[in-house]
Amino acid sequence: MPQPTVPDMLASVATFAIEGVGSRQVVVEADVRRGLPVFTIVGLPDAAVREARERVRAALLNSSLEFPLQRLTANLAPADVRKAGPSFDLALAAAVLAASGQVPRETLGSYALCGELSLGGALRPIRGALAMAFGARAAGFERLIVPVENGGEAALVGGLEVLGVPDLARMVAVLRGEWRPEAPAPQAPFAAPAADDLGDVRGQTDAKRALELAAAGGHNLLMIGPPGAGKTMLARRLPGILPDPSFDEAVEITRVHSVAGLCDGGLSSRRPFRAPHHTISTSGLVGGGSTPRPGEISLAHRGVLFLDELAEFSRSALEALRQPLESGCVEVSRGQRAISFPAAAIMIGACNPCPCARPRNECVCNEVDHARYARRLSGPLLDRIDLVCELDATAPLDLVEAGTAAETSATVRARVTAARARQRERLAGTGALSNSEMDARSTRRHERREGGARSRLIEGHARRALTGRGHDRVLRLARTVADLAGRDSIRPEDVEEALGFRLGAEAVAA
Amino acid sequence: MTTRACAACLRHSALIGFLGGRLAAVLGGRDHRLGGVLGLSEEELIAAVAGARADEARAFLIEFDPGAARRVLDRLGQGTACRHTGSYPRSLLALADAPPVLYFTGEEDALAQLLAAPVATLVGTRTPSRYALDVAHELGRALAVAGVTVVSGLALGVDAAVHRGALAGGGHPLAVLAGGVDVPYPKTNRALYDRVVQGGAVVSELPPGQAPLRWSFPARNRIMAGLGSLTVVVEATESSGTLITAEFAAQLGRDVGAVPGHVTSRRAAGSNRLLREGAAVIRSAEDALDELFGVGTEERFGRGAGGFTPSPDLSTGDPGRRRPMSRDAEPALDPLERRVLDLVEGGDTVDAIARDAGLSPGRARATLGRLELMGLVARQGFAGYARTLGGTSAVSPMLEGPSCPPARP
Repeated sequence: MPQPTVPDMLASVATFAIEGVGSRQVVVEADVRRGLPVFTIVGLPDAAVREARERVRAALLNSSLEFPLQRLTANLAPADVRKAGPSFDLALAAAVLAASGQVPRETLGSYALCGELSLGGALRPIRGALAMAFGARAAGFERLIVPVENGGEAALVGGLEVLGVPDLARMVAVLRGEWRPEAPAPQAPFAAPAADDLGDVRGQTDAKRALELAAAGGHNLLMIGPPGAGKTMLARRLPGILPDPSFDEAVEITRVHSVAGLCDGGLSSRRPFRAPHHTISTSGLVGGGSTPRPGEISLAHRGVLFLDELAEFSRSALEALRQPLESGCVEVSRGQRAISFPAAAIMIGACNPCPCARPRNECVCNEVDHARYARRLSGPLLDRIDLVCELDATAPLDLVEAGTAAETSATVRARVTAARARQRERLAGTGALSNSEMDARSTRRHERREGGARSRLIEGHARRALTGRGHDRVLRLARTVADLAGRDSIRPEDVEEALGFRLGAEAVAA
Repeated sequence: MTTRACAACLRHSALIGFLGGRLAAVLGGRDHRLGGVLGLSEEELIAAVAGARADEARAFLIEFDPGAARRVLDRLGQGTACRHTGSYPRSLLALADAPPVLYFTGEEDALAQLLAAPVATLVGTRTPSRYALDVAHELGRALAVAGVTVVSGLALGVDAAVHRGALAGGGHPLAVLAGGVDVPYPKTNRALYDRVVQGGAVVSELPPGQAPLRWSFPARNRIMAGLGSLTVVVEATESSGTLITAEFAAQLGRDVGAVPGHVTSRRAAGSNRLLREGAAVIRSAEDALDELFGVGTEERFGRGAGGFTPSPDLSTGDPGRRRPMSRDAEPALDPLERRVLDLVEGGDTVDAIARDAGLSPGRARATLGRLELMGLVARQGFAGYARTLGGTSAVSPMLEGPSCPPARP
């Protein structure tokens, strides 16, 4: 019996759909056969995908290509996954062209295609090109065709030929082997332009120390102070004292930003600083939605998430922060699939000391007001904040004390970078990049405690009723204190400083 | 249980309760004085305040059934005393507008027993500093240990700390409420109310069920001032209602004392003004005992009160050179720790502490961490570090809840 052959009018093309910060392969099949001229798309398309019919038709005709006046059916497989967004346009067009014999079908197998079409046939940039490139490489494709604007971003993935194409006609030329674009060069990280400098902030040495520790070990920080104390000013200077992201970190940042459509086409070489307003929804903060999008904490991945007026955020938003603050990633469940977004950010909170927000000596709140205000932050959330410092309005002395110039960001960043280097060396192979990411086992294993430090911790347990988590967190912060000082072993004063910065869950007990 | 207040006084008292709303309208605003209205006879009171409700009030008087009132009191387990009973506090008779009836929780002789001991009234602001909270607690405790009956108003802040201290010292606190004694006020002090009822007594001039009204707070203050031979203001702002209590006490010719506060602190401006005007300086319970009994406490009173042994502090001859507030023995501190501790006491932020002590900010935090481990300072929620009274530190009011066992079984 003769083997059934694929009929001429059928073609299939591979493309990718964003899922979390990764992607999933989608096969676009097109079938062209005799009948009334209709174009149907099946396979759970959303409205944007259904509208691709009109874009594909117009783009083909405007590119001097033929749109078959026959019965056209396109299927997006697997058929049980919802397809959203315009990035399937290019693959649909290629499938139609292949099924109608305008491009050779046999060469299509080594290509993956992603892109949005304009009616004129030009390609428009898409979200998540980097994630799609990762997916294409993992699925074993040799070549990826993307809009030219996404070329640099997608080319960050090695071992894959990325073809940045400006319009449909050029894509056809590529597939026919008549034209090859220049290989887009992956952008190297460049030195971040000088952000706000720490030297601009006078006084507030305690808060600056806390900021330095937060940067050195990736610890979360809460600043408590009246309006005008400089909380926001300080928080904005944290990215400036963090070391520049490594290439891998930059790719991670780009990946999230690319999926969210915030990528400028190249590598994100600056650490993100995200400062959402306190009216943000829970899914806006941690991610979610029917087609899950990253939340602010994921957009701040490898950077800083600044939550001003922390006590004013909705309770559910703050509670949802607990898991990502602990594990460095967000799990979003949609139907049968769980999607994970990276969320390893340093969280900086800022809030007033009390509801009346006046300086200490003029406060008119009573103890119930105070307790109620503090209770807006739950114990479990506070338990995940290693550094809590109080600020007062800047003393006039600090303002006139011109002789003692404050340290610049560059000076502090040098110390932080050195401390981070020590951590990377020590933590090599554990998957953690900083002290705050150490798991409980390595936290304890890596502690070369001096006897005094250990007994300090035990005392701390007795006095502060530290939780198990609290114990590890004090230890990690003490580890960072020692790293900043360039020491291998933790001394009693390191533990004491860590305890001095810790507020912990007991602050809002009862 | 039978109630001892006579029918006429019960009726008079019930009338005051009945006219509570009218009194609020007549006495009006916040910074008012009572102007003797509460000292009026029934008919005068109706004429003065009842207005349109005069007929209703007269009908109320005619229909008043002392038997029914007594049955309600019996059911609630409340005792009463009126000016015609022996159990009525002598000290209150000095008031021109002494309440016709005092209602109180407990047995009929509960009030008389509590008032048989020397009585000190301790009051203060509802929004105290940590320092004032600690001092209030310690004064309440030490005076209770000395056998003094400690009176306060069960309000938030200083009042609550005084009651807690008295309970911690094994004393029998007396709380004077602005509403009926079966109406715990404020509600957040419910747990403390229960402990005071159990360990001491709650008193009021208003009949059961009466909610507190604006005028009844200064009215309550006059009773507190009247009960105490000494009234101590722990901390008060210039506009604090606490100063009304001190004023009543001064009018009655009772001793008034105040705890010194920071001269820069607005919270202590009222109590500091009292000192300037001649109130006794109260640095410790011994100073308060000196005011109550004169210098040389132990001969006059000390050993009489159930096994009370005077502490070494009490035998210091010259009251002017006495140690300040007694603290547990402090661990040995190096000069740096001592300096930081003093700065914490001055209410400085960590930033200022580091600057003043010449420390790097990290070292300042470390020193605070060490002092905290020694139990000498504590973090006050969002309000930074504060000095504690060593090991005898007050129970933080935020931590008190139903899980705290009562001080007395």
